[in-house]
Amino acid sequence: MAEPSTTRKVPAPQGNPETGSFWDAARQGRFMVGRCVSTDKGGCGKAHYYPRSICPFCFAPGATLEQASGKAVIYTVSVTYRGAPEPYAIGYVELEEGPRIMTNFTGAALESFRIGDPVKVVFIPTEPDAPPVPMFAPA
Amino acid sequence: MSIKGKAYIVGAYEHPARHAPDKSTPQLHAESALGALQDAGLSRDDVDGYFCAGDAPGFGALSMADYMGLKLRHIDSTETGGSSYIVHVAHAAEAIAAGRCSVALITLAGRPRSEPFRRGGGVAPPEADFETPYGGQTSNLYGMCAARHMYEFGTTSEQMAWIKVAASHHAQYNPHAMLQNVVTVEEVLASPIISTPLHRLDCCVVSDGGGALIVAAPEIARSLKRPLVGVMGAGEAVKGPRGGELDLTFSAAAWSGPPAFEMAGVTPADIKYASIYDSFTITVLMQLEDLGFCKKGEGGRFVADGNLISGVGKLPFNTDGGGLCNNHPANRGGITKVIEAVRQLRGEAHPQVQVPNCDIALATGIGGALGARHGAGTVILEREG
Ligand SMILES: [Zn+2]
Repeated sequence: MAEPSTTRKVPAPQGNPETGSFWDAARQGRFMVGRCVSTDKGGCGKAHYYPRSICPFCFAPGATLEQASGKAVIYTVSVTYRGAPEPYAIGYVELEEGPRIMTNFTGAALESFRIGDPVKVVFIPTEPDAPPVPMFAPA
Repeated sequence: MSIKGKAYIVGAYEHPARHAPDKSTPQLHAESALGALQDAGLSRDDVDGYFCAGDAPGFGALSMADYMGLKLRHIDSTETGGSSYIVHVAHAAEAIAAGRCSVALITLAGRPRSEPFRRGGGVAPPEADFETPYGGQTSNLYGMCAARHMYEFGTTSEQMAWIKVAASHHAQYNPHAMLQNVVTVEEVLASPIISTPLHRLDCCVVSDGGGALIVAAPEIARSLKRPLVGVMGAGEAVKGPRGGELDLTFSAAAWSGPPAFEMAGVTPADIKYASIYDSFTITVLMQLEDLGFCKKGEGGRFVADGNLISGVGKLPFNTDGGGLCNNHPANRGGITKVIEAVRQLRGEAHPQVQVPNCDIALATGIGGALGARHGAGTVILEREG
């Protein structure tokens, strides 16, 4: 069993004019998803990720950020032992809001994460002055 | 536009290099082009269309076209990773059918063992901040698909290992193959884990090298002395995480395959030989399902017990040893998939792996990352006469 990955250097997000508010929220510990405008405003109302200004499902403009519950279930996981200085667990989780998103797993032994397990969002620091990134730990 | 019968693959050449520290990458492109032209019985000056992808040094097709002194009416630098060259065969056939060129050259080459690949600068892709921090790399972007497939369908590591075993049975007859030893299921499972559940022997090799193809108009093909290998059907598709509507249980081959079969007027049961892009064992397993060689979820049972071994199983695949054992030039295996299919249709594969009466073959590929964004290309080829 590998130990929880705590020292792997995580690249800092660079941000851009479209996603800056997502990373501002991350600095405050708030995990956001994109939300399409409602059907009465010409959208589909569905949540998406990563966030866009135009909905990837129905292409309606005006999508906004909304705070997510942070609850998710593991969709898949792979523990990588080669090609990096130390092992880490990468996977996709299915958010309570619907989207399946890429992430790392932390807070427990790498081999302990199983498809179907409930997890919750945690923010992991990247570089000084840069925003943290969302990862998932056992719920 | 249907391309059925409107173009022929008249030249195919696989560069023999697997480690090329003393050649340049443009040189490998040109040597591959020369080899394919000689195979076809054509000359450089006959080429009026050129196709290349992201492995070609320079800006799109411009640098390599100039390096090789090509005089062109048509260029296409469609980039879908390792599947690009299968897509290029279809695009070349379309261009020929539309009268935009008559002799199309497709090249691939690279030296991942000898020189670092430099990606161009430019603007970060939109997903970068939402994926790069998590350390996505080729092995885990396929490992995640394998893990989900095992969870959904009960697929086992033993079943996936059979794909490597079959490739190794073919590679023992290929003197150029990087891995020529026949391996067992047990040996695959005993090799180190790269990214769960994939072992080292679930992965393709890393090799220098290259390859080239010549696609020509019917009247030119008939004037040459080579067996006629016609392009009968083709399809292409792209697939990604789709805003969170991610589904790792199928590949874009589920969308590139059906139009190819429909255009060719054949079904999976008609395919005598299949070149299936084998970046990893799971890549093969999922494409076999997605193309309809077996039902979704039954890929593990389909590949077990040697079903992919020529002369043993029902669907001989990758009889050159494939990316799993032979080569994977520039980390891109699409062109070698087409080359071995052409050899089979001509009856020029190694006698130990040649499929008897091989008249219809398929070449299919996945480029990019199966567990994120990838492109698929499928072509169906037929020997005439
Ligand atoms: Zn929408």
